[in-house]
Amino acid sequence: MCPPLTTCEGGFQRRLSDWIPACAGITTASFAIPGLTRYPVKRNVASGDTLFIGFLLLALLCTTTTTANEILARQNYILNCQGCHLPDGSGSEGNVPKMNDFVGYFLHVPGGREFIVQVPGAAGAPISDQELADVMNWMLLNFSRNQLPDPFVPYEAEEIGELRKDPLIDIHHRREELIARIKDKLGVTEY
Amino acid sequence: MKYLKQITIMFKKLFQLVLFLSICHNASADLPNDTAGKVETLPVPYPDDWVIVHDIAFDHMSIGRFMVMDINGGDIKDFFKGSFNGGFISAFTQALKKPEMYVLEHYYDRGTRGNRTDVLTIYDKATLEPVDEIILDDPRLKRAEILVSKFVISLIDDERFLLFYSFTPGTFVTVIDLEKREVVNGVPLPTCAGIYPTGKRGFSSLCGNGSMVSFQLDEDGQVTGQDKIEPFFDVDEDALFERPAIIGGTGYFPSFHGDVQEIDLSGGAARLGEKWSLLNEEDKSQGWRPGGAWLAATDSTGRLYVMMHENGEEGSHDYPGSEIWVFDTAGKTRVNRIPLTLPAIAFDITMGDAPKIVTTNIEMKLEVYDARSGEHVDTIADFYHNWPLLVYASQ
Amino acid sequence: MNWLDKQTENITRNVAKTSSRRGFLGGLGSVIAGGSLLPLLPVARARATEQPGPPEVDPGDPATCDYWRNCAIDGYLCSCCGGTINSCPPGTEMSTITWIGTCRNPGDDKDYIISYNDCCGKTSCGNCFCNRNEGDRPTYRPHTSNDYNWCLGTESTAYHCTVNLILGVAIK
Repeated sequence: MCPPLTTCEGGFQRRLSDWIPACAGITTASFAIPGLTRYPVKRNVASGDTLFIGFLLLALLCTTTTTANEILARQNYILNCQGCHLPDGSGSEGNVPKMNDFVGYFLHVPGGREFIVQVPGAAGAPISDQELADVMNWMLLNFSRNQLPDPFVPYEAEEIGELRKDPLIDIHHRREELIARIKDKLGVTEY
Repeated sequence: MKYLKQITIMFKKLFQLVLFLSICHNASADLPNDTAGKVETLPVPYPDDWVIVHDIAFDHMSIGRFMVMDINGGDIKDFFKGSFNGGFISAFTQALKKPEMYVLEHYYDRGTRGNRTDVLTIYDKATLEPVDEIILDDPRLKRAEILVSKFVISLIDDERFLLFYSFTPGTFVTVIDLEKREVVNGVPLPTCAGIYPTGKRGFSSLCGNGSMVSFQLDEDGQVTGQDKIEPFFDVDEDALFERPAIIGGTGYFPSFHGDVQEIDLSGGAARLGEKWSLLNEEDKSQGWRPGGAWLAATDSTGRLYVMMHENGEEGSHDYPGSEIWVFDTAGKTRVNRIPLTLPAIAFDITMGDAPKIVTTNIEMKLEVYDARSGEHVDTIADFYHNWPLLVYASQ
Repeated sequence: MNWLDKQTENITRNVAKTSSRRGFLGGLGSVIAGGSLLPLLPVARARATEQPGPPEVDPGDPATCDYWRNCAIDGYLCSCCGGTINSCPPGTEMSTITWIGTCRNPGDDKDYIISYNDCCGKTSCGNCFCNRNEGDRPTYRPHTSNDYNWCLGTESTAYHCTVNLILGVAIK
């Protein structure tokens, strides 16, 4: 069902390096996620102590500077999504799509990355582009980490801003198409 | 003479006999026996001054009811004409071209528990009997239970299609073909609500991001086109009520803070019209705002009536109104202020040449006002009721 | 659920205004209504099963409409129906699908994230009707609308009463 964790590791490594400037600048979706800091740090021990310490510091910086972002992302999820999608993203069968252990698959197929932002609940949420980017990344990493592609490229405010200008109207048919693509490509079905 | 006396006595006795018999005859003129099984019917179309009042029975919701009432009635025998039921928080609409009324409702086979049956029940206006029903068994299309929106259910295409809003919390608009008596479509709706008839065979809905979407349907109830108005209001700063008055194909949507947004619903897609204020500077300084469970209506001349309260604040949008303001929509000017004898939570206006405002006041009594003069005409009370919330003019 | 809008409250309000019998919504109510979205530091997530704390940090009576956590409730208070502020009355089922808002706690001046869960499966409780709408928005934005019957995902949609669960403290 899920892509192997080893694939994700590489993805997370690359992602961390992508994120380091972002972390330091306290922008973008940048969360202190257990494992995210662990994998690269382990691998870079061999490269030299200096680099290792540097990574540790950066990891620490990420941890300390992004906690508020993560809490805010989670809060925005609670305030704007959780009422229907439930605290664990499990939804309710037949009425509210299951996101946990699934939503990450959308990023594997053409149109999926756009879709999960353009659904009206996300696109129309009364939060800023940056906040929505943070919520999207928080959801993907918390609910569906093992289904993410390699590499996982987190959402940024600019991309969100473009996508949400064009919210979907007929989400159900679009979703069915994407679910079919996911099934074709990854061999997984919805539930 | 002797005979004469006897004849007189005889006449007297005869007279007494006749009198006696006549009394006996009168006494024996009993009331006719009644016939069992006789049931009243109502005149159709209903007279101008009749209204349909939804008693939502909030404290025992499994069966609410709709009461047909003549607001010119003096006492209960005059004003109460009949009733029909609605399961749970039911929704109501009526045809004007045929004698049908529609109640969207559901029931459980053990009252409040057990298997659920959703049904659109079709009532005859004359007999108030359910004459037909359409079972609604698609689990995606369970109706939204919303007390205070008349626009959760709408008729389009010359009353051929009935549309209702589904919330599970997935959102759909279910399309029922009333000729075929069957569900023909479930139109997926983005995060939007309200069904405002649009053009010949379409509808529009307000959406959570402050936009509006429109759909056009074909003769089979399938979507042939969709359109949208990009976000045009801020839901957090000054939301539009989803409870407009629709006057001559234009929706007049009051906002929480006292503007009114016109939206042209006469074409194939909704088009944004003008936005203007219901308030002058003095009104603003006194904090007047629109509000109530049902707060906007129109009369036969196309004036806009909005229920208003003073000292408005965040969260006051459902407050009862102490006045109803009347606007000329062409000149966008206020032409009357009608102070209410008791604040009201909902109102509607009867059609015809002598329109009346019927309000539900905070004591859950109905008040009648002359819509032209604003004069208070009557209070209708002392009938068994619980929560007569929404008032529907019969025309 | 948007119920009999303001009926009870406004009668109460009028009574309070005219007779000064109790400063129901004049005092506490206006504090609650004042502002509900100021930045605050994060705190540990409160467990939904916890009972209200001592009065100084959680002031007011949950069985009254003007209690701070009821700032956007629309229905019957479960505290008056055999339940509590955060538990349903016996034999009812708590909805998992809810609408969520924030209320300012005058005890610690923090904004709490509150989930309004309906208790379902029996006919209306009928006690302690309360309708307050701070942060409530129309039905086209369902997740901030108390006009819906939120007995969704439950065995029965029969609405009985509403509880308010603390989900955390709002940081912004």
